[in-house]
Amino acid sequence: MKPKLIIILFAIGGLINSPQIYAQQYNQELIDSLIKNSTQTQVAKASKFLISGFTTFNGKFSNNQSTFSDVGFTPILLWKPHEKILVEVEMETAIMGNATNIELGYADASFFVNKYLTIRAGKFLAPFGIFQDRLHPSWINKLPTVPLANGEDELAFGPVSEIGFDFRGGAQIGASKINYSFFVSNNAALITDPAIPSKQGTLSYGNVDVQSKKLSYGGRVGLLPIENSSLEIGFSYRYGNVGDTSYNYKSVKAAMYAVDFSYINPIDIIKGTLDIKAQWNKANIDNASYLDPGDPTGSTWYTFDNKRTSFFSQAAYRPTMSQSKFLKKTELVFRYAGFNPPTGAKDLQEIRQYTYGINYWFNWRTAFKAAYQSEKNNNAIFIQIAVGF
Amino acid sequence: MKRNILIIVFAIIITMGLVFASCVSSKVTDKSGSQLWAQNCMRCHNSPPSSAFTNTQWNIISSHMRQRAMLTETESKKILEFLQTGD
Ligand code: HEC
Repeated sequence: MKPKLIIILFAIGGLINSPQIYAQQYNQELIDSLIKNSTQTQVAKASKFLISGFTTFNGKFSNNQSTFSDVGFTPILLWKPHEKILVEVEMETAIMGNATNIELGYADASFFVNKYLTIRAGKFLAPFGIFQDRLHPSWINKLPTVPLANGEDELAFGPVSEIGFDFRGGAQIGASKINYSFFVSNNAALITDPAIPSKQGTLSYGNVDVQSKKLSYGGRVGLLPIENSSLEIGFSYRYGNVGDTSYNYKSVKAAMYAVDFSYINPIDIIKGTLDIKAQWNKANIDNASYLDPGDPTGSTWYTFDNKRTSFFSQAAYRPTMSQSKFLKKTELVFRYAGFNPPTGAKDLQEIRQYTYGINYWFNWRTAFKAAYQSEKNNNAIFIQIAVGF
Repeated sequence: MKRNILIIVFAIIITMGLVFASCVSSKVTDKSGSQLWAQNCMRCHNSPPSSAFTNTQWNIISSHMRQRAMLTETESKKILEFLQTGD
């Protein structure tokens, strides 16, 4: 329920505000003394607020469809009220049909407790794999589309965001590094509605109205074994109940797994930077009975072995060491993604997706991207202008 | 099962990697801010030049990226210093 979300946000705001009020009283004295000393510029430096974010404009062209779609504006507010506290809020606004949709992407406060521990509270991007957590903003994603079943499209099944607490940090072990992020969060909710058969047995995340006895938990551990940090391998896990306590589905549980891989390095012999990213996901959801969408009387039930996997692997090359200013800003990208549905699920089939892209980077976070994407009976050209600000 | 073997092989490679890497001497503490910037800030997105933001903005961004990228405190401090004095 929305009101609960607002209460949580207020509570977080309250937590952060109390030292702020204190600081304001204290600041008043400081300000007076500063004015006396006519060094007012110091005051402006003490207020730490930043508006960041990105805008996206997409076009899709295929044999039977040409459209400019997905106009999005995503402001991010960053506020640092204290040396050890950071608040981040992302508002996703997008045009859907002819209406404007606003969604709270994330809203959380981070407390930098010590060298090795940062605690986040609120709604945060799920530390599960790398796509959602690190690569989804359009100015970061190297292709105009999201990898099949890895992002937020209709086949996706991994967590996008969580509501709860997250404990994260990094450390060095010799010349290697390790990082971790463990969370407790609200349960995901099992989707059972026969209106969208392909969604039956999948999960929705980041809910404030899920009522259950126990919370979900999970996290990711990342290893950077090579001294120059060029390689990272991550392992993620998430476990919890997915049914409502008041429901038939209360004992249904879901376990999710992901393995991710990142390698990025400027390489002399190829005169450029090679960037490889990959992620593999698996969801094992307990078997449950769903209303058969094919039966108009709504009295037939069916079940299936609810195990599904998806993956993407992507390679990008940018001739960063080239003499030509134009080539330096050009990037070639290839991505291979796939989805393996549970056997017996309705309206789902195995899919393989190939995407070939070319980008031109106007600066470090403004790009024009074009790509050809091929799926069985579903080939299209996509363009995108992504601007980070 | 094939998958289990794959996971075991993976685990062995990582452990070996960790052991070998620890023998190399260049630890985070030995590296300069610019080196750490070059090695870390391009891992997820193109790395921003120091001229992209003011010093106050870098201070906020540095906390954001320390949280997001789970950087160590030393890395984060050294990179911030580099970005703030870089231009
Ligand atoms: C683990 C991946 C990762 C690494 C490593 C990383 N970033 Fe980021 N960075 C991100 C993501 C993701 C965003 C976008 C934030 C969002 O949209 O939620 C971002 C955003 C930014 C922004 C835009 C302003 C903001 O704070 O959102 C700047 C500037 C930035 N990063 C600088 C850096 C610098 C400097 C470094 C090196 C210390 C760095 N990044 C390392 C993932 C990373």
